[in-house]
Amino acid sequence: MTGQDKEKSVARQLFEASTVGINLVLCTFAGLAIGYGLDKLFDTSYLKFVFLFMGIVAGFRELFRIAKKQGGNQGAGPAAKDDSKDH
Amino acid sequence: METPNLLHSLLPMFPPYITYSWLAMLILISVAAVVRTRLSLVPSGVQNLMEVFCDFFLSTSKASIGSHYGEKFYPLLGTIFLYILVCNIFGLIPGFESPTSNINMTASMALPVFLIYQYYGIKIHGISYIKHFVGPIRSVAAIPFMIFMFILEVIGHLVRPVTLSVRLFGNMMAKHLLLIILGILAPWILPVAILGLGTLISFIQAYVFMLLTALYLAGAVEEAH
Repeated sequence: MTGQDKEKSVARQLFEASTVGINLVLCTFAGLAIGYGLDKLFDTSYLKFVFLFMGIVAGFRELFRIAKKQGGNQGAGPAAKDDSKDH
Repeated sequence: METPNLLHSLLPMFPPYITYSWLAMLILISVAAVVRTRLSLVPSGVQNLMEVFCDFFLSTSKASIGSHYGEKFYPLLGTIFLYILVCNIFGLIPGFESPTSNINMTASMALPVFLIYQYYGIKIHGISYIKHFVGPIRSVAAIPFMIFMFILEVIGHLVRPVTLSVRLFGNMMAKHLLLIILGILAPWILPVAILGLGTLISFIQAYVFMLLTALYLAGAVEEAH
């Protein structure tokens, strides 16, 4: 990997990492919105909490996905390379 | 304070974000058409710039999506990048308005991206595209976990077009508001600094939109693990 390539990948990782914050927040709200809609649809009151929880988990899952990918990119060995593909 | 708006005074029946998006399309198409008529083996002038852009799109696309599908999708990525870049830069010109500071505009770009990558995911993998959604463990005993993972993935996928559109819209809108407010409060020095920052943000946001599109496409066309 040449110096320029490395710099490029650092910039790319930075931009990818910048998406984490908004993803975390919007996943939570999307979960709540879906739950709220289903509550209205089925005339229940607990589904919004279930889907809010799922939204939070989905947000953290996205976070883990990006973190795993970035960790995989930094490693040098073949194992790390395989890891970067796995997401 | 009502800022003077060039195209809106010429075509008052259309909202400004529509007319400026037409202007962006017109600029991009006419430049491309002019360059196309005088292609030469030894590039010079605008052709040079276009070749650098194309090279950049192709390398980004191949690095993110892989060499096979990278070539297939790089016109899409290039169009998105150039169009958003021109739209963003309109916001820096006095009397112009950037179409991307309207959420209808950004959503109308993010939604096709969402539909395209889902379409190619289904087209390439067929019914086994659902494996992308059910998580790493696949067995009869793990069906409740698979349903749980499926809902998580669906939420994650539904959020993607929202994040794409809100990120671009938010950045452009924030820059716009900051310029207006600082223009009123401290009209001489600070807006210049914000304009510099705005130029940087215009490029970065166009690149981020393209990069995320590439990543979503890559996630859809690759094999599920």
